Amino acid sequence: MADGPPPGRSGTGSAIGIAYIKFGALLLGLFTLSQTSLADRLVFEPVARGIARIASGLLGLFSINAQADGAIIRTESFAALVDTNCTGLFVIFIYLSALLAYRSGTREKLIGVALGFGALFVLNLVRVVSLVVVGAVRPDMLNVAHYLVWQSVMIVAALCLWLFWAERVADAPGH
Amino acid sequence: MRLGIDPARFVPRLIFFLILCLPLWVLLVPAYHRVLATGLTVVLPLVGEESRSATVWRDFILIPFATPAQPEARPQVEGFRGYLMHYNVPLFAALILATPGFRIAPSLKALALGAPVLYALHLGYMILAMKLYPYTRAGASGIGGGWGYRWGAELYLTIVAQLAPILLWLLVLRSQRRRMTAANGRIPARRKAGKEAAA
Repeated sequence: MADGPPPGRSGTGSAIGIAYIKFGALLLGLFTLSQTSLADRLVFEPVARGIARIASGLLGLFSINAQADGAIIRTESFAALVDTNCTGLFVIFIYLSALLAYRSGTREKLIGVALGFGALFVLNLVRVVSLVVVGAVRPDMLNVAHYLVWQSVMIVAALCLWLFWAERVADAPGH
Repeated sequence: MRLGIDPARFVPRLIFFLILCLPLWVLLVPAYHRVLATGLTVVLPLVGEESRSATVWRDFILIPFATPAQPEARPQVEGFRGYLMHYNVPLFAALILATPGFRIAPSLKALALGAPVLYALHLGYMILAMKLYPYTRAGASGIGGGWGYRWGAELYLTIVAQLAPILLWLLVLRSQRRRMTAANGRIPARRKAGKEAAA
C-alpha cells in the first residue's frame, strides 16, 4: 500500500518494490501466526469474548436486551457468534503491515498504530452492534449488511486511515 | 514514497461512490452469479472435473458432486457464498471512480481491465477450494491437505479478497501517474523544439 513519486528518480522504483515486499512478508507472517492454535487461544478468543461483552452492553443503549455468553451475543429473537473474522483483527493486520512497510520514523509509526488500532476497533464494535440490530430487526438484510456492506466499510476505513496517516503524519511538512 | 492523494478530497468521494456502487452491485449480483457459474462450468473440465458443473442457488454458487453410486444417498454439493467472494468488485469500482484526476475514459478502461482480474480471482478461489476441500473431509493434514485448504481459503476470505481491489487500484494509479508524467515531459520538449525551429 505504498506508492511513490513520478518515476525517473534513482532508487525510487526499488524503494517502492522493497516497501511492497515488506508489506507482503509482514502480512503473510501475521496471517500465518493467526492460524495457529496459540493465537486462537491467546488473542482471537479473548478479543471475541471482549467484543461480545462490550457489544451486549452497547445494545442496551438501543433498548435491546442482549447477553454475552462467551463469544455469543444473545437477544430475545437473535443470536450471533463473534468468530475470528468478526474480531476485525485481519483488517488491523493489513493496516499494520502497510504502516510498518511505509518508510517513516518510529514516532510517526507509533502515532499510526494508536490511531489505527483505536479507530478500527471502535468501528468493528459498531459493526457487530449494528449487525445484531439488523439480525434482530431485518434478518432478510443480514447477509447483505454482513458480507457486502461491512466488509467493504472495514477495508475502506483501513485504507482511509492509512492514507490519512501517510499523507498527514508520516509525510507531513517538516518530516 | 508518497501516494500523492489528498485524503480530504479523496475520502468523501470514495464514501459517495461506495454508497452508489454497493446498492447497484446488489442489483447486479444475480447476473454476476450466473456469469460465475457459467465460467466455472467451462473451467471445471480443464481441471479434471469433467462430470461436474456449477449452478446458482440463492446467494450461493453450488458445485454438486457427481451423482452418488447408491441411488438412495443424498446428493452432496460444495457451496460458495457469493457476497463473501465478490464484495471487492463494487469496492474496486468506487476506488477508481473516486480518484481525483481520473478522467472518464481512463476510468472506464481501468474498470474494464480490473473486473476480469477480479473475476479470475473469484474463479481461481472456488477451483482451489474445491480441489483442496476433499483432503479436509478425508482428514488429511499437511500443506496439500486440510491445513493447506484452511490456510488458503482463510487467506483469500480474510486478506486477499479485501486487498485485491486496493492493489489493483494502486497499479492503475501508478500507471496513470507514469503516463501523466510522460505527457508533461513531452509538452515542454515540443515547445522547446518549436522555439528552436522559429529561431
